[in-house]
Amino acid sequence: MKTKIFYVGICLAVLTVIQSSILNYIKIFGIKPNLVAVFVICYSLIRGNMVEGAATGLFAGLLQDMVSGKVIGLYSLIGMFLGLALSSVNRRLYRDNVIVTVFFTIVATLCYETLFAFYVYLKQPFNPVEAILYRILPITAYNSVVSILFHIICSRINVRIENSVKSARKF
Amino acid sequence: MRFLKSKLFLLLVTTLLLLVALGVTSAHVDSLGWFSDIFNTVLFPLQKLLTAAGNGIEETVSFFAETGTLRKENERLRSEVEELKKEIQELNKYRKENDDLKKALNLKDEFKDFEYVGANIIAKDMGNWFNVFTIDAGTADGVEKYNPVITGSGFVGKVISAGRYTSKVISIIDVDSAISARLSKSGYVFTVKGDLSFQGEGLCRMDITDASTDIAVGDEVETSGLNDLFPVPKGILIGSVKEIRRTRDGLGRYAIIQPAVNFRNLDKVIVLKYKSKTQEIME
Repeated sequence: MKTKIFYVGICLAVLTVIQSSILNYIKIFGIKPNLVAVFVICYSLIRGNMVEGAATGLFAGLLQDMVSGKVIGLYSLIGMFLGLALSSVNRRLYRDNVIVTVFFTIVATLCYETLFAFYVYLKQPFNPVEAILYRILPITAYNSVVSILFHIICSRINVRIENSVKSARKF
Repeated sequence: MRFLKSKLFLLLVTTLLLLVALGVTSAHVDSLGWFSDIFNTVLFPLQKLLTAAGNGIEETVSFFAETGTLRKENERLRSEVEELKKEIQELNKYRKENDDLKKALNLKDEFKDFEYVGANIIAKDMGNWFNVFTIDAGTADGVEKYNPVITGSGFVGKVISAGRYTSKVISIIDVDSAISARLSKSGYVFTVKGDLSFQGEGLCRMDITDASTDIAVGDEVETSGLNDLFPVPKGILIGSVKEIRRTRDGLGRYAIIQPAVNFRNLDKVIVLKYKSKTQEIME
């Protein structure tokens, strides 16, 4: 339990700092990938535990709300349900397959960004075709590339967590 | 009783709590302001370092890219300096005249009520939809909510929440931003808003409600000083009109504003804060 919280907490804090500072200098076409969301996606997929997925998503969302939220709760709410939805995907069917991770990253990012687009649209209508072509699709592409890297990182974390669980058993 | 211990119940409670937090914070209530302060207070030195590193890298890269044009630019700048020196002399004369006339007419100086707080941008927006950034000045430096934020070249935005050592600033290109502006030339008052379609290029939008408005490309737009929620001094440059377009229904027009501030390379800003009453009396 402690190992889990330690690894996830460190990863999310580091990713939040990176995403809010240095990632702005390597934007492509004015768009940057959403590292925190991709981490939540990959971690929930690999762990496959609904409570864990929801908690990770919630924590990641809270961090995002603290750093750049205009309101508190928007990123957290969406993050929590993102983690919940992805951890409920049956893990035994697609164990540790990069292609599966990339596929689910694409689907989840599309949903995630569309929700934000919808939120913005309610406040101020915009041209939906433009938003899809110049925002949602590029973000999805970046996220899917990043997800390959995160798949590897999350698999390693998963191994460590499982090892620590094994060594904690008394019999 | 079993339902109270189930995971579904926990999920429902968390969702409800988050929705309440959403409602409370979107109604501009400050009671949850401490929350967003936690992370920023703990990790702002790290953010500051990384942003500074990013700035350094960008500057080094652009230095090598620009070496070829530097000599030419140097010559051009030298001749410009000569011209400007002459101009400064002339302007000094005007300034003195202006001061004298202001004194004679008893005009109020717009900037007299404000004090300047310099700040660095330490974190930019996490996502791709909004344009909120964090600066390294907070209530400890006297920054308050709704303080206007500027740079030497123009208007940047306003503070939306002030923590102890850091504050969040919403820029004028954000979709949630709206600021009362006027044309320097004719004095017509409009609202300059952020628009998602132009946000990526760092532009904003200004709806022209009155069909008879005299407006042309290149006109300068400045703050009107008419905002009721947060006081902004009159006459800070916002930008210039880049293009005038018809709305999709063909009935109205809107102008695309090129802000005077370049939001891509922004790294230092100035917060305008009110002088306290006691200080005013002292003076």
